[in-house]
Amino acid sequence: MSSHGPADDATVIARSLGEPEVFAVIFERHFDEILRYLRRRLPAEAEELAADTFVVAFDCRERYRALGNSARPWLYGIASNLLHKRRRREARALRAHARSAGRAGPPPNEFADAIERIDAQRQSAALAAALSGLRADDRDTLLLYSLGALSYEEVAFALGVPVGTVRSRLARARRHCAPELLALTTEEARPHD
Amino acid sequence: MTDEVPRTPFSWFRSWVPERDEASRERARERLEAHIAQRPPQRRSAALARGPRRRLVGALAAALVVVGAGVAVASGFWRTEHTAHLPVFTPAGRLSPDFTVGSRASGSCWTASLASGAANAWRCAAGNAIHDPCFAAAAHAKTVVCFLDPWHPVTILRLTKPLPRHGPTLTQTLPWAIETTDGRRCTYLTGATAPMGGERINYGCTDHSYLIGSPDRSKSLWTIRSSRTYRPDNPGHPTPLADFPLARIARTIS
Repeated sequence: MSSHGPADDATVIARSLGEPEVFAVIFERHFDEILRYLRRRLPAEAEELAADTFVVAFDCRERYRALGNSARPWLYGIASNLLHKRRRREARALRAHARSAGRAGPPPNEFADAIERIDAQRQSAALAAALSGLRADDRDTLLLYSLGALSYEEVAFALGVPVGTVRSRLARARRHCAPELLALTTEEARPHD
Repeated sequence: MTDEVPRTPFSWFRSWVPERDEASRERARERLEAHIAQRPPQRRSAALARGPRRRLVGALAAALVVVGAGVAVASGFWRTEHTAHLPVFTPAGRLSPDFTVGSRASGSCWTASLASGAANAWRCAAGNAIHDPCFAAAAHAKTVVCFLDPWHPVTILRLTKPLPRHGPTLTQTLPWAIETTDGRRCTYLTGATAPMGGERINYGCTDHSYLIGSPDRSKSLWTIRSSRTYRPDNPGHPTPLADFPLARIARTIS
């Protein structure tokens, strides 16, 4: 831990072993992001899952191993494990969204105008259809990479798999998904995502 | 959504989710705080016992302690606790009831323990097996109590020879084993160890973390610096000891 500036997540987690309240720092730093991610995955249960993520993280903090300075990959991994138990429900939700052509998705006032809204609805429905057909592991990998904005290494850390597995899963997801996903899952496309 | 940002199918996912949901955040925070307060009950802090607003203040205060200069310790968060001290023997010289006997054997001790620096700790043999440390209740004891570690059943060794006339030369006063409030079990490391924070690494723990230097015994709840990883000092540039997090000592065994 440095004597100056904020402590990194690993230091905070280590200190929370002796001073559990300190774990609130991890919550304050990352809850919003984890909640957003889960809302994109399984909106109906996102809040419960996000709260569970931090409770599980607290209980498992003794086993925490740092990857870089941030606990993000670790927390995403816990969230993914929790999601994995609900993978069938997520797939059903995606299929339902695909069938609705996005009508049940974005609230209208979130889009600048009607044309954009229609485009977004079409695209989100297509995306939902593509995602619902993915294997759960591939979907986790693709969405951690694309929505969580984790690196290959961080996705591998989060899911507890080798980096090569992440690459192969992403490749399989690209082959499976609609062509528009191809552009999203390449390194070149990420700055615009 | 701006004109500068190309639309992608993921835009839908990103656009409709509120950036920050204070209600969800507050509910999740309360749940986490309640969970923390229950594990274990004696760790419940005054901050967690207060109302939501004060809980938030408490959590933020804890955050400030952590992200601040790195020298403050959130001792004010804790109700008074005491470090317990578990001796191997009762005052009557019997094995403490906290330990169970796993086996019995006959053997002898020939030198001071290498595993413990305690004055009554010996290195003994029973057949081909070496037992270390073995604790004697008295200089003329006829049996010693041998440990694999403090958390396994002990072996009672009936001595076939008297203990060496000269006691162990290592007479440091550090406890042989330490249990921290977060559940780590640590035993004293003998021999040469690298310094961390300018202090000797004195204990190795079951989770592969380390305890550094000596316990701070100035308060009823002892503390000791710890490190989750093995990070020996660079020669001439030791990491300040205060940079290592404090572990609270629940119990010592010696």
